[in-house]
Amino acid sequence: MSAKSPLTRAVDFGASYGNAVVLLFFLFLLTLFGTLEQVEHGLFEVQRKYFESFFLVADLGEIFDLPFRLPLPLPGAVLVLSLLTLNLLCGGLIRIRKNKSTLGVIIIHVGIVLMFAAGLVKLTASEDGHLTLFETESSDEFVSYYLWEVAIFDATQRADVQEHIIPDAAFLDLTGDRAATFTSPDLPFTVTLSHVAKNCRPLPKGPMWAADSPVVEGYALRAFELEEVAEQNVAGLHVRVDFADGESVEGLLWGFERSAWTFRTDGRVWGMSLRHKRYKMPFTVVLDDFTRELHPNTGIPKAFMSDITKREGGSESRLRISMNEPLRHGGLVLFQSSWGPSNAGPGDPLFSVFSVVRNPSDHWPAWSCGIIALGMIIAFGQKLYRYIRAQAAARQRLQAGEAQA
Amino acid sequence: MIARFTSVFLGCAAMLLTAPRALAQHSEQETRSAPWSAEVLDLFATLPIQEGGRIKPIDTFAGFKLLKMNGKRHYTTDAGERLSPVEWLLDCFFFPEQASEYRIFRVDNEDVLTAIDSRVPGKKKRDWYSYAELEPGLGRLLAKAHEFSRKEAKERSLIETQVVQLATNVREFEELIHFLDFARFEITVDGTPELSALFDGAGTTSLSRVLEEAPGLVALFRGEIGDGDADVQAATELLRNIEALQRLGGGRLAIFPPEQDAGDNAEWIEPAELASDAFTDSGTVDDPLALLAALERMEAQKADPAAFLVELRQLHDGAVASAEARGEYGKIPLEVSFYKRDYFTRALVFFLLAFLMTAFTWVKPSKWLHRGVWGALAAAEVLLVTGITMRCIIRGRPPVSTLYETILFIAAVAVLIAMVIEVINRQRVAIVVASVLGALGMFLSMKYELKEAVTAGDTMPSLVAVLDTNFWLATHVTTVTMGYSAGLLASAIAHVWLFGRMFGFRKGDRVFYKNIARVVYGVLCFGLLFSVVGTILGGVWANYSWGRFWGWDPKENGALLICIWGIMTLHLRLGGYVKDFGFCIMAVLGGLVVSFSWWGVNLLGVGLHSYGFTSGIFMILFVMYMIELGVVLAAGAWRLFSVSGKAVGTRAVAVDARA
Repeated sequence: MSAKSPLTRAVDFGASYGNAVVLLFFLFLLTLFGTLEQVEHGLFEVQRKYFESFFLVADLGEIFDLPFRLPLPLPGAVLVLSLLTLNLLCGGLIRIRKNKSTLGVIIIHVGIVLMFAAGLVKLTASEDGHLTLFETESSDEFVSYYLWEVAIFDATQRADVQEHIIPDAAFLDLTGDRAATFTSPDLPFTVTLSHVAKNCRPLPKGPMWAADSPVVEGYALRAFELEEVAEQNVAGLHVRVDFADGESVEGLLWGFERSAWTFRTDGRVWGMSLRHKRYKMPFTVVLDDFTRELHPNTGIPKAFMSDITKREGGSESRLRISMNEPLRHGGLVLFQSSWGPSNAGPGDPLFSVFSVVRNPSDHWPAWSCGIIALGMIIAFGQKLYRYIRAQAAARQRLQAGEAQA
Repeated sequence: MIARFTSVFLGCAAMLLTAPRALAQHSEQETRSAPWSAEVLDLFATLPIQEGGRIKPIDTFAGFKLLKMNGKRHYTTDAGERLSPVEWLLDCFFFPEQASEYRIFRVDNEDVLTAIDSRVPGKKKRDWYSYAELEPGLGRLLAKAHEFSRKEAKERSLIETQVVQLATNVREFEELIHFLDFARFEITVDGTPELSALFDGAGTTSLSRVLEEAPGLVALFRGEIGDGDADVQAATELLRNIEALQRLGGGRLAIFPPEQDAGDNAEWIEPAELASDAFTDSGTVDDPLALLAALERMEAQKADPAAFLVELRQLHDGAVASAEARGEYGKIPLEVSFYKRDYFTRALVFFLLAFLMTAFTWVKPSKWLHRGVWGALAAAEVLLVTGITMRCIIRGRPPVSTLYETILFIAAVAVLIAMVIEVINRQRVAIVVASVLGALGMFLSMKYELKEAVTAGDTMPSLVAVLDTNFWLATHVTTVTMGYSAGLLASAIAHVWLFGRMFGFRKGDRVFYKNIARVVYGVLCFGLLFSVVGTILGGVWANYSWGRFWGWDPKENGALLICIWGIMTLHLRLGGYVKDFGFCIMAVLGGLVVSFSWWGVNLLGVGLHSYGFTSGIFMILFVMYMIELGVVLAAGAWRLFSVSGKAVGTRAVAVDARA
């Protein structure tokens, strides 16, 4: 009998029950600690630390409110789930004996793979954001909650404004003195971005604090700790525009600035703004009416409803979006998310907030749920059937024995 | 005497000081001379009201108020009269002096009274107090409660929390005893001949009569009729007095149905609101005014049981007719019946009976006793399921939509599974576990009902918008709760295996223990099926409602933990890493994971499932965790000892053999 090669042994281990148990145990710990730590650090921070990482160090002292630090290195959920997927594919689909008694288990594993695939597709290929409209307003764009972009446009244009977009992946790592220059044949200047801060405020520079960006016209960016809720972080950066004649101008862009930063060259006014990323929709939504109902004589929300008009290619249709009743159209799903202003009095204009998601794997989780349920019913049903038969047989044997006696 | 109740309402007291000029108080009968008749109780119990966003019988309202203040749904007077919630509420409404002598305020720690410098001599550490006993310290109680209320709830000490709670109870009690204040005063209407003529020359009259004449009063106030300034002034004075009456603080219960075409979501009307409604839109309050007049006559006739009954019937029939016309009365009698029959307390009695009879069978096995166990258990389960079904019908919802309902449902499902197991394997283990789990479930539901009474005032609250979907409540919530149920049942049966082995029960009966281990395995698989499907369905719901399948929210994570633990346990068994002992230990720990998901994550107070937050159960969970960890450690020690004992024995035999 020949000895197994190291590769075979590695595959054996990777596909083994033991490996599955170890990985599941790590996933259990990550989920547990990632749940408890949300009390102190909020969902966004915890999600990044535990569930979107390869490695991390959990401080058990902080999690369990101990008077000392107790660091515990752990593999992150990305690593654990990747290895678990490999384990599942090797052990639960490829190497598993394929017969009637394992049919249910194989179906379960197919369902789990489909669910993981749905997650992967959502992570890599989906877009999400919000569409906020006051009554009678309309829009054909939705806005990301936390992705940024720098938009450059000719501020003298009217109607359909052509914009040049720098996506956040191209500049978000330009912290401190790190800089990147962007050019376009359509632009008579180059743009250099630097000193990106993911959460900051532009403040008049005084002697009491150190600036996190160059000072421009007396103002500089002051960086803050990241907020627990991602949407509350407001990015900022320093921009330098170099013209062909060797001149240049400097400015600070901040995510919540009401108006664009402008500069003039060759008799034209250019605008530049840092804003949440915008996505185009294949249709326009007009908010006709927003209704908020409370349970009578209470402050408990009973229903939120938005009556909208969907305009697309010259046709219009009137629809209602409410809690648990989203609009699915054109690859997008619009959900009733929230409303405001929260302090609105009777008769005040209200706005409605829709969450908008473009997710190619929208229905996959539901399918995987059905597949997993089917697999479990087959697998456990077979075992239950065998158990009941064995019990009945044992009882018959006992009764036969008693009769003989 | 009425002034005594209002002493804490400084503003209202000020109004009372001015009241005698124009408000004349009826003569007051302070105590009830005979018990309330059965007819009065039936009619009053089925009066519909709107509270907490839903239409409910006043019986439910009374039950939860008494439960909240007293810790029990009944009160026994010093004279030995046992009062139902409705009898107590009738006393509060019509005989406030008598009700204020009832010791209904439960104070769990006398330090609460020390904190407000109002200790009553002769009381135990935990005792019940009457409003009259608390009255001397009410000012201090409210001041302290106001001070402590400024702190976040989780920052308050136990005593501070109890002070706030007691003050809330006292305020709510005052609302009850002041409810009919508007009916206890006559309003002077003889300011001018013109004003007097509106009321047929009467010198004083009731609020409802004044409101009936609202259009004439408005005309008088505007100078459209009458002789000028004197009439305008008289009308103004009268309106001020009505305002003063409103501000006495009574009439705060939405007892009058709105008009039939007012819409599905219309607010019912409180007596206190009628005055404003009458003067702003006098055409819409005719029916409520007739009901208001009936209430006033009930107060006036309370000393005459026959006349009182006539007036109550008029109020009842009027309110019921209006509610029926709106389609809002249909479930009221069913809800009254539901609370009257008290299914869950009766189920508890039968569960305990089943357990006691089982214990007797251990001492003296008997076929008849065993049949008795089955009978008691079946009766308990039928009562429990009937109660849950009635709740479903009353609410128009699937069986689980609140934390309270999870307790009932989990107990019912666990008992049902255990009974099925017993039918299959007849080991007389599952049936014991069923009676214990059923009893524990009923105890827990009672404890949590009390908590719900304190925090929400009802166990059938209106659901927030996102939960308003019977499809997802029926699928996701029900399946995930069945997963909890099976996880806890597996844990309980695993305890039997561990304790049995540790204490030498049926020592050497390997088949018996093998069978129990198989049952644990089967129940765990059943639980895993429902946990996994329920968890994924939750993700699908989130995907279809919020646009994301998984958000690492604590409640989602809790459900995921159960799934991971279950899958890990099965893989440990499949890989041969654990045998029966290890599997049972994993099942016991799995019970802790279920408890964390069921209750623990709610304590964190973070995440999107804000409708499920709770507090005050930390200690129960902590004690349970400590006990269970103790069980696991003890089992581990037993295992270590028994294994090493066997090894020593083997070596000794070998030495003997060589010798």
